[in-house]
Amino acid sequence: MTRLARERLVPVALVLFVAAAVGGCGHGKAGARQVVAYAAEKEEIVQAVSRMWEKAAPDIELSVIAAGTNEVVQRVRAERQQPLGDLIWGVGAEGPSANPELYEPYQTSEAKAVAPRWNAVAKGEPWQPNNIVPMVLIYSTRLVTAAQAPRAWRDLAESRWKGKLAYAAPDKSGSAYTQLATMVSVFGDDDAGWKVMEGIMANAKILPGSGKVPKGVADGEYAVGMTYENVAGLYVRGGAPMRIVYPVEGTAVIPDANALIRNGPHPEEAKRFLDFLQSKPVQEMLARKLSLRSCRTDVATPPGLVVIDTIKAAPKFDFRWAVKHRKDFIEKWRAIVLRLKQ
Amino acid sequence: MKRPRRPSDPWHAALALSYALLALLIAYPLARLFAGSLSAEGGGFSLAHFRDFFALRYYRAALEHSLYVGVMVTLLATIIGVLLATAVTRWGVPGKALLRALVVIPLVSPPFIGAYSWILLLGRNGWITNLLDRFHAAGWIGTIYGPKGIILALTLNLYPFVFLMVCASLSSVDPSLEEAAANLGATPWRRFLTVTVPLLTPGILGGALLVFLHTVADFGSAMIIGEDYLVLPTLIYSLFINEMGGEPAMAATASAVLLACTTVVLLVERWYIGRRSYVMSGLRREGEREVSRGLRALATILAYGIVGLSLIPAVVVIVTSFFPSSGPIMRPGFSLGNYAAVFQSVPRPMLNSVFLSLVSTILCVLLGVVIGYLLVRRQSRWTAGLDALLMVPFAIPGTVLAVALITAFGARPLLLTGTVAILVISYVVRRMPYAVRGVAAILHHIEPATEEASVSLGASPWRTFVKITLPLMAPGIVSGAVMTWVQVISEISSTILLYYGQWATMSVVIYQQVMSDNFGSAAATSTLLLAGVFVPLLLFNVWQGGRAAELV
Repeated sequence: MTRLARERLVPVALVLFVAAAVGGCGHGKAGARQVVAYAAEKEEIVQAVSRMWEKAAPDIELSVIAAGTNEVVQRVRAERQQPLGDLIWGVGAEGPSANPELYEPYQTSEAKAVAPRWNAVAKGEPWQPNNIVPMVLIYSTRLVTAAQAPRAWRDLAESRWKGKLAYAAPDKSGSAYTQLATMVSVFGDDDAGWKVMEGIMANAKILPGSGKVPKGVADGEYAVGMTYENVAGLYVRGGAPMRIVYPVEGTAVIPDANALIRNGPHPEEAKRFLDFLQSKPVQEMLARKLSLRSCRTDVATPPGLVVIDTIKAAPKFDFRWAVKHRKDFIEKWRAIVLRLKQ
Repeated sequence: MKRPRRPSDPWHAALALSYALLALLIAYPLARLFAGSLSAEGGGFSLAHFRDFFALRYYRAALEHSLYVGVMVTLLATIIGVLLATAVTRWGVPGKALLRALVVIPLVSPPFIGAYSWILLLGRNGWITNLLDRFHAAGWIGTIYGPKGIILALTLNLYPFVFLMVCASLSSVDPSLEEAAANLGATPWRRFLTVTVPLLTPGILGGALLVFLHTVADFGSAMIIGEDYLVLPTLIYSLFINEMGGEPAMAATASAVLLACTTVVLLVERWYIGRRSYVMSGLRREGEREVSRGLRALATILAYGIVGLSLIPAVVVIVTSFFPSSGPIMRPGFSLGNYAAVFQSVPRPMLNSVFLSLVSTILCVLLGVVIGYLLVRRQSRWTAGLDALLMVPFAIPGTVLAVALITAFGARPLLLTGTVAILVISYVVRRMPYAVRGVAAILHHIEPATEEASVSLGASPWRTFVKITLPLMAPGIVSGAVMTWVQVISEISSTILLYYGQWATMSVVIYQQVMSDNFGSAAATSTLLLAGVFVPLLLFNVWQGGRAAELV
């Protein structure tokens, strides 16, 4: 590059770059009707539903702030003096259940089509189900044969899984806590039960987020893992060398929730969107294309997944019982992990 | 250092303004947050939480881990950064402008992408691990998870801080001193250790300080590669950000412990620097030393080797971005599918990222110059408080800061949430300390006599600052601006809680893609982000290179 080119062209290029940046950042239109959703949903779910919403309600602009469940719940709590969001979408139901003061119970127009066991508002909860999620075990087919694969929660305590079991930290991840509570319900909340738990934790690698479990098992970093069905299903469909196991003792099936934020800026629009999320066309699309199990009784099981009735439910597991004992179970779990480290 | 008192010094006003600004943006939000979390526990301040913290192994281990990782990364990154900077500026390694631009790339890649690349290569089922396994040699490297992986990832991620600050220092160290040593018969190596390194102390320590502060506050790498190796930021995160409510009082305690660590380290640095003088008359600046061909070749190999190694995560990201992917699974091959998938969703966040980084960098640099100048040239009891306030953002994880900002500015009369202003505030608060450090390091080299001469010749303090000090500070300002720019553009932990409406940035998009297990899209978006940062930096370096060549 000649000196002239350096002196003249490069600054010009820099200026153009900056101008493009500044010019490109005009503000969106103001004054239009809108609804602001805080979503803990995957990108493709947000995109698919947004496209349907554009057709169903062209007069209401949907603005989605997507993050993880932790961030979404934290954000709602932080903004409680002046809420900016109208609703939460696809968030683990533990969040709104544990913070009912932040949400306004709202029974959607679709409530009659929702299976009665998931009608949470009728039971005094501030949320509605979006979809339902069974907890599952997964194993890497590269490292484990079908014959060796674990069949039950209890099998995870066998010493052959030492250092090969992926488990998300239950004090960080809601789904990992549900798995912990499921195991407590299966093994019993007594010395013998927690002894089994100690055996499992002695094998486990505690990962700091639930997403790392299926990824780690799919990549062959871990032989087995505890996770939830729809994320495991994503990997299996993508061709990951991995298989799903529904534990023989039974497992927990819990809902992902939507909820109306108390004192949000657009309550009417928010209610319409919450109705829309539970409506049959949306639920059918989510089941068919994105493998989310519907909370409705009139939507078929997603292709490739077993029918919900064939999955054995953990007999003693109850969602509200799990929320209530969270502090206690987490403390017991922490004590085990600390003991094992010494 | 005694200076004659000047009538109506504009720096008094600057000091007052800086205090007001930092009090409003740092002290007030955090005081509100922590006061709230402590009183929620039943009122009154007690040391019970601190007692718990040091009594329980769970917490104490996190502190020990943080200190261990902090010290190791700082040592390694400092050695690498100093050697590389010297090789590039003094030993005539070819391709200077390119190297200087490449070196900041590790700072740009979002940590959750960078650390993941190391797992892809060195994990239990990594490419390199499997390769070594064929020769039954996988045992040589052991597991990457835990402290080893964090140290590897952070060292190669953070040494550019040392590099940038030492480069800035080097360009203000008069090469005549080294030439004198050479004329007196010192070997290049001896010259380096006995003349260059001691002269560079402010730059080296400034860079090392940044590395240490960054390491002990790092969340992303520890989260991804630490497995069950808990450090303070991951501990604070899990105590504070929790769908069920968390334990804010304990989180505040852990933050206070982190803050205490960083403050002690800062004070030690300050004390060490304060013992001597590093001023240069600054008549000659840039200058390459004649070195033997062998040394130049060795330096070239080492420089490109180190930079190459630190670029591995970025290279992995770029390569995998061209892999065909179905859902979360990627396969070797070539496809533009990932780019097609993100083509629609990327332009707006890209502009947001560039715009926000630009605005924040300009603000950071302006504040950095003023405050950096105050800290070094107008040292007093008052500036010490300013210095201490500036340490706070280093010790507060981005997520916690974001919650503090929402708490403080989430209601009238100071309603800023939902506007772009709160994003800019969080970036400025978190990154301005870097600009201040960059400016402070360079000021230690500039002789006050030049400024005093200007004042005694009748120029006003302000005119002196603009005409004399500012041009002399230019290298430090540039390195501070570059550090700020790359740090802001990859910021995620506070952005994810603060962005609103159309203001999603590239790092938010990448984060959401990773959360959605769309690793192909995430790789493609990261590649575009890297290009968006790299191209302007390269242009800038080429432009700077042209200028600097003229000055010599």
